[in-house]
Amino acid sequence: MGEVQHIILRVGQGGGLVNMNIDLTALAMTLVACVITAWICLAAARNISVRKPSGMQSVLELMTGFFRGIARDAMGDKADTYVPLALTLFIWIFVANQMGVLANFMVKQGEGTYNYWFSPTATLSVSLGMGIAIVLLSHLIGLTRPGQYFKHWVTPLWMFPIHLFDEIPKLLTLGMRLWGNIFAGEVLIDLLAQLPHSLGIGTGIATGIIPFFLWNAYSLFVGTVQAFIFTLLTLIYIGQKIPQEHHH
Amino acid sequence: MNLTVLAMGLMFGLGAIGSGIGIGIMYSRYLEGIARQPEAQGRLSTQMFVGLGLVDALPIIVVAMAFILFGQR
Repeated sequence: MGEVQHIILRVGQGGGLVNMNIDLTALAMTLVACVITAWICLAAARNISVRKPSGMQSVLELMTGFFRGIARDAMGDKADTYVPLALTLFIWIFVANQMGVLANFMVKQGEGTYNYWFSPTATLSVSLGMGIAIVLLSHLIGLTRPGQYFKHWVTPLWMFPIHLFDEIPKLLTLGMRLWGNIFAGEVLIDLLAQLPHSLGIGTGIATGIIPFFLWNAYSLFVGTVQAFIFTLLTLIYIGQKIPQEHHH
Repeated sequence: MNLTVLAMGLMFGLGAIGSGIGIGIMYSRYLEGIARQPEAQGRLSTQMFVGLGLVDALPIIVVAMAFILFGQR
């Protein structure tokens, strides 16, 4: 199969302070996902009406109500502030996950195989970056009430390392789970799609076509569930930092 | 035989065993909960999905790691 590569911008490889690789293809795919998300939402919001809602409008309204209910369960009466965040996250991750299921362009160029169209969430830096951003956001929201926030860390005092250690699984469950699911799904789709190439056309199509369509259908399902779980965990992690009446 | 392939197989298999047991226990308790209190299904299923996300995370990370290992072989 060979190494599948992305176009990478290398910044400061001379051993300076700034030393990183920027995945330009993943950046472009992220922007494409943003454009598709914005287009979906704008198309749904065009010609909105109370008496005769269009199909897209009804779907978005249903989803808004659904996430509002979950948010109220997770964070009590301050929930409505975070419904737009939840809805944006869900639609963006949903679109991003399905992009790689619908198409996956690989082009052979010189030495390596370059991948030009894939799910941005199948890149570790994108998914883990989103996870880190969400955890940071939850701490910033907690910091709007500094007294309670710092008191939570040290009650009781010996629990402090455990509270600190508690943040690592959050990164794993937010970022790496999303990346792992989508990445593994894409690799398996690629393997199945390359069966006619590696086994010969007749045998490849005969053995690969049923698993290929089954796995594609399952990937559509997985993409939706993962988007939902990411949104749910985001709401719960932010809700933990907001003080509520029934504090545990 | 390449040892990387053996390692991949072990990673897949052990990950599947662990997460299978975990998800099985969780789902059976979820069904018991619904059977006892059908009106709690909404809240239970939300919590169940969170648990699914947590249990699911580790084996799927391992599987993705195995694919990366396979690519760098």
